[in-house]
Amino acid sequence: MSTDAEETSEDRRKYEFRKVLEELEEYEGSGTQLVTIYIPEDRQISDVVAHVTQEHSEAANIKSKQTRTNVQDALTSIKDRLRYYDTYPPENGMVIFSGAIDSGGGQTEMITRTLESPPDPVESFRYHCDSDFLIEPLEHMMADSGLFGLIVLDRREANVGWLKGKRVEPVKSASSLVPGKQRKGGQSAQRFARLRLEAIDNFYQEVAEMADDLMVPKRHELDGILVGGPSPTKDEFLDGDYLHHELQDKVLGKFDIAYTDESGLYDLVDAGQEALADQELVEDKEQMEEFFENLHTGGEATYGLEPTRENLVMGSVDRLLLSEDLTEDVVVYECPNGHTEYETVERRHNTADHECSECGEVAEVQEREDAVEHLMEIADQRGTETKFISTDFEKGEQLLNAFGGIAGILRYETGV
Amino acid sequence: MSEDKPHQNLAIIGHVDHGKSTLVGRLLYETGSVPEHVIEQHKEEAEEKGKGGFEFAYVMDNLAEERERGVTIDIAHQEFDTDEYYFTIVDCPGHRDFVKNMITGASQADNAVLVVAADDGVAPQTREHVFLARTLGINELIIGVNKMDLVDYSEDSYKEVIGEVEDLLNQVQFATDDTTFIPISAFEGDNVSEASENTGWYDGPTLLEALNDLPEPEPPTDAPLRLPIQDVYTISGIGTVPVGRIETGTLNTGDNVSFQPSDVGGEVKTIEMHHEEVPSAAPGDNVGFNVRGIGKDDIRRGDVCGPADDPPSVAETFQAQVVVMQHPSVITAGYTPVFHAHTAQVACTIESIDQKIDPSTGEVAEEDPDFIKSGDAAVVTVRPQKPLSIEPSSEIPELGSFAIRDMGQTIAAGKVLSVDER
Ligand SMILES: Nc1nc2c(ncn2[C@@H]2O[C@H](COP(=O)(O)OP(=O)(O)OP(=O)(O)O)[C@@H](O)[C@H]2O)c(=O)[nH]1
Ligand SMILES: [Mg+2]
Repeated sequence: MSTDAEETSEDRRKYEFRKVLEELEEYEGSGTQLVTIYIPEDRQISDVVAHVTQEHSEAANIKSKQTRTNVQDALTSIKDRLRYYDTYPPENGMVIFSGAIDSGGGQTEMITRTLESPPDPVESFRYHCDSDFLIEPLEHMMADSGLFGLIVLDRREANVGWLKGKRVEPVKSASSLVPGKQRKGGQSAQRFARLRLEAIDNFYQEVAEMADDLMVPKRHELDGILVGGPSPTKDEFLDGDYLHHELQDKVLGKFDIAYTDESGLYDLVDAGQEALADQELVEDKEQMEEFFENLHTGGEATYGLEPTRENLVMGSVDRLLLSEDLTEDVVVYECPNGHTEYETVERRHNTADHECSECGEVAEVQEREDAVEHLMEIADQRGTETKFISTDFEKGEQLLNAFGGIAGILRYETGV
Repeated sequence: MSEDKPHQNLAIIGHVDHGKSTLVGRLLYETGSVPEHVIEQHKEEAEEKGKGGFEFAYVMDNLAEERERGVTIDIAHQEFDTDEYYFTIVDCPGHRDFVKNMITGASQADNAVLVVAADDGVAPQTREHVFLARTLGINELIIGVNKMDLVDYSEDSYKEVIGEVEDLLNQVQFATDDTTFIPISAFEGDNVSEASENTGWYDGPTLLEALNDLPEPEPPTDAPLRLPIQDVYTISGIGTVPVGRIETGTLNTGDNVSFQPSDVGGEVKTIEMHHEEVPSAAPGDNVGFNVRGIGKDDIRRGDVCGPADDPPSVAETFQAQVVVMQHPSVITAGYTPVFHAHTAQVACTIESIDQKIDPSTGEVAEEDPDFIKSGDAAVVTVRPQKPLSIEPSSEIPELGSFAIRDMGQTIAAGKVLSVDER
């Protein structure tokens, strides 16, 4: 199962990238002294070194002594890093960040970070020196891919929106003037039927206009369009060629769904899973659905720090599910009687005092570590796959909020 | 005259294609509300469309798309009377995509006829409709075991279906002792208004007799006016006409009313019932009315009309007790299915699961559980994603219950304990 292994490492690398980016985003330099270099994979390292040397000598002209020193230090540090590479950078290129950041109280601290092989190739060489690091191009690569248009409609109302990566984004809605079934006030059946057909036609045009306004400008980025509604409406809408022809060509499929309000957009994404099969969203969703189903049927699921950890150590976890937005540390306590206990605490919060739940003694802090690192390490030792789950969809949000962001699908019931 | 008789709102429910519309058409035909030549016309049209056999259903299925597909899409009302009652019949769609419309129809009914085809028995929407009927406060069910002609009027087949239905009623705790079962053929007309010779083994009432024997609807709670809006029409000469059934209180011309959550209001100009203008209407009445200054875009299905000085509550959040009927996995905080309450349908987030309740004793089994699943009862806090008008069940039970749907099925039902108003 080499593909699985690759996927895991990919998932994991993304996580590590994200963490570094989050860290870098926070930093600021007091002057224009933070250096970022984006290096494409076909750029010779010797070229880069030459460029950096050039910048180093030009930096001598910087007026502020402090800034000058800081920039030159950063460039020296980058040159040192570059020595580790042969002729070319690794696949997809690399990005180096270096500079003196404000570490509070007028102090500065020199940091250097290297990110190798980002998810997409670095497109062009960039040298950037500013009061913050240039992280947007990398953030852009990290963003979930996939842009799909969503349209749901029946004769009463319609909603259009996006599926962007893993997030459903309702944008616009319309409600119709199509008369209901009750015919009133002496109208002939034929006249009623004709007026109704006209009203339906007008409404379909309105829905198409709404979709065109939204999606035509994005038609080149669009990966596809899903259309949903209760039985007949979506067929009529599509068969009637109401949509702009370039959008019509992008329709991946039509799906039976009952609701046509905003919730229908979410139902449409569920119903359209097959058409979206290669999307990351679907993979995340399937993991969460399996976990939820296992919870329903019984023991092959675990959640929360301690039970999940215990299962991991036992080697009973098939897949470890961690929320991408999990920002907690694990604190390991040990009491004088040798009981070890674990608790999670928000990354930025102080470590709390802890009483041993077995003997009531004050327990000592043994260790404090990022929860993700902590669990992933055990998972790696036991050959358990780790999956990071986005919070951009409902069940992913539930993982974070209802289960503390930590869960596992088990190989067998353990009763833990 | 109709005014002398008590009013009954009757829903016709059941699985798709089991013969609900055909039964209503047949009933109207046999009681003289629909003349023979109209049925003849429908027959021609149906045959032209390759839908032979749908002539009685066409009485109710009047939309082009319904006739072409032979499927009821939206609810339709028809009025007719027996010796005892003035009936408003709501023919509900059975197709799973249109359960949302069935809920609107059934939420206005006092009693219901459940149609189950003898050759098919209890099917998915038979189940879902029965559960919803119970949730939506339907008092009594008459079960029409239909299409008896297709099983050669066999008593064994009839009994088999009765057995399945009884199991189902027991499951959702619908009292079965006073349930009436009738073997019918809506298409052939057996046991609809006249006792059939084809079912010599059956000596119970015909459908018409059973309707006549229904108990009178329970008097409503002594509460202010609450009138959930089922639809909004524009009628030339009159203007905007919201229609719906009065759940509690009375509506009089000259009243100052408020629609929530749309938050508009005005003075009631005219009230129409059974195609006649009336000065006032009472609980159970289906009315169309006109309010000064209200346009078609100001109000919508799901609004509730009440007195301007005691308007319907609009919930920021509400606490409710729910029972999970069927769910393939588990329900946690953050779950956002669609809630149906009276005629409204709104996506709502279960913000917290406060207590798990032991369904057999009603006692708290667990505080703040992480999740609940099928068979569980729980107290939950709910946040509507769009404004929703709903009332505590202890104050106005008619406006205090709801059904929860997700993934194309009804997964839970509940009643409102308290409302935190916006
Ligand atoms: N043989 C026979 N066919 C029947 C009977 N009642 C209805 N049907 C047929 O069943 C089909 C469906 O009838 P409908 O009345 O449209 O069924 P429905 O329950 O209203 O269906 P939906 O509204 O779409 O859920 C039609 O072809 C009818 O002719 C019956 O008593 N005997
Ligand atoms: Mg029908």
